[in-house]
Amino acid sequence: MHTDVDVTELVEQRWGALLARISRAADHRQLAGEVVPREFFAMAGASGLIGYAFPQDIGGGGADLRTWGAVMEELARVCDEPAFPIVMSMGTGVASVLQACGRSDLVEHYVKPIVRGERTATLAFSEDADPFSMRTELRRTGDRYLLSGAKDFITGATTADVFLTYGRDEAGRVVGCLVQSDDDGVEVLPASGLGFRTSGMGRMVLRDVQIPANRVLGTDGLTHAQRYLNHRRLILACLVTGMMRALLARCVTRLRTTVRHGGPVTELPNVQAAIGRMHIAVETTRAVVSSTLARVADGVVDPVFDVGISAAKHFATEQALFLATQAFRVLGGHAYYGDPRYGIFLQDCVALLCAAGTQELIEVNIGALVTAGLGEPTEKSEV
Amino acid sequence: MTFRFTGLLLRFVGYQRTTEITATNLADALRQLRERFPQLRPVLWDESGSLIRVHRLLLNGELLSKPDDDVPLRDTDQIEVLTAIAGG
Repeated sequence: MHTDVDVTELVEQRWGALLARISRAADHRQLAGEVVPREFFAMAGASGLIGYAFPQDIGGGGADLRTWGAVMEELARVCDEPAFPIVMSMGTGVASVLQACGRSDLVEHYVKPIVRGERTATLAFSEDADPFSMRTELRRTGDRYLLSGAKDFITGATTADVFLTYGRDEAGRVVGCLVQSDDDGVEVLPASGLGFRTSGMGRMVLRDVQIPANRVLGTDGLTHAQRYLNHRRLILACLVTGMMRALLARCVTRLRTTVRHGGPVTELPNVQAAIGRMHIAVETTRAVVSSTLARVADGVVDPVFDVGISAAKHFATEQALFLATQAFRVLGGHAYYGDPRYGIFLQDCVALLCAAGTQELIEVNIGALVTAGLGEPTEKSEV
Repeated sequence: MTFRFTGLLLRFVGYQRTTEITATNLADALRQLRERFPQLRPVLWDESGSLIRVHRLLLNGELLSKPDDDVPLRDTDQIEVLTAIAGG
């Protein structure tokens, strides 16, 4: 396990130059609506960042989950391009669940190339519908499958080579499979959203795409997808924490040089109180996320829907939104007109309201599970 | 015994919150449930007949962490099917 100081130094020493390069044109990309260049993910793979938490025998760095979560937080704190860790971690999530399948062919063809940055991957699950209303079909035809339908709201769609996706089989069960962007019948269409505008969001249309049997992942696709999303919520909580720390530091730095009524604005009690509220939001979020990460790293976790993980994602998102509005209140026109980062942060927070399960649905699930006495996992498991 | 459904699963049982079944053990109760509501089959069970992990069975409020077919049931028992899924 690394301390905060260790992780700050680790990220700076190993990936500082890469993150500085990615950050350099971040504001331009935001304003121009450009997607994070694919080459950055290749560089992240080559430098060992993507594989940092994967086993060493498949080319990873062997870091534990707690350290990986801290690295994610630090990445989000120091990188001015919020979409970079968001998209990169979509790929590490796909590689993780593929590795967990225990199939050497998947490790060789997908996990290792993703870890090396040679392939990019993301999740394509949503259809703007509940999972039991999924319309995409995966039909067996001899030794192959045909995949037809469409997937919406895909983060990193336009830069992904591989999509972990799901369709219903003849019996109506949800089944997972892998689609490649160069498969015949696959069309990826760019989509625009409010937040993470540089993440290459998109929609994927699937027209009788032939899927070899070895790219089908088993029968219980619904649980498979929920395992991915459960872990995703934990990573999102880590990333939000880093983003919040960066925004607070930026806000305080600005306020220190701001003069109103003939004196430093930071001497005004209402400004001090605002900074106090923002600091409380950041530190309570750090504490919640850190304790959740520690518990999960110890293996005490529900691998499909963990109440604590979902609560951490929910809490972090709400605190981030609070932080954003506080920044606008105390910075005024500077945040609205002068520095685009505050608006970008606010938009990204809104995206997080929907990401990996809406806040509303998370509340419903947590309420139902806690009512049933299932608020805390009692058995050790792997997330 | 009584099966109790909420939320996402209601549409697959004709929006009946409860359904009564006469069974002496869990395996028999689940078999009869499948027969009464065939549309539940791909929702609750995988191809091998195992309960899909996103669903949890609570027998009289207690989680059946590894639902055993031989679990005995009485007329007054109640099994709730709880489903927690989110996102995409």
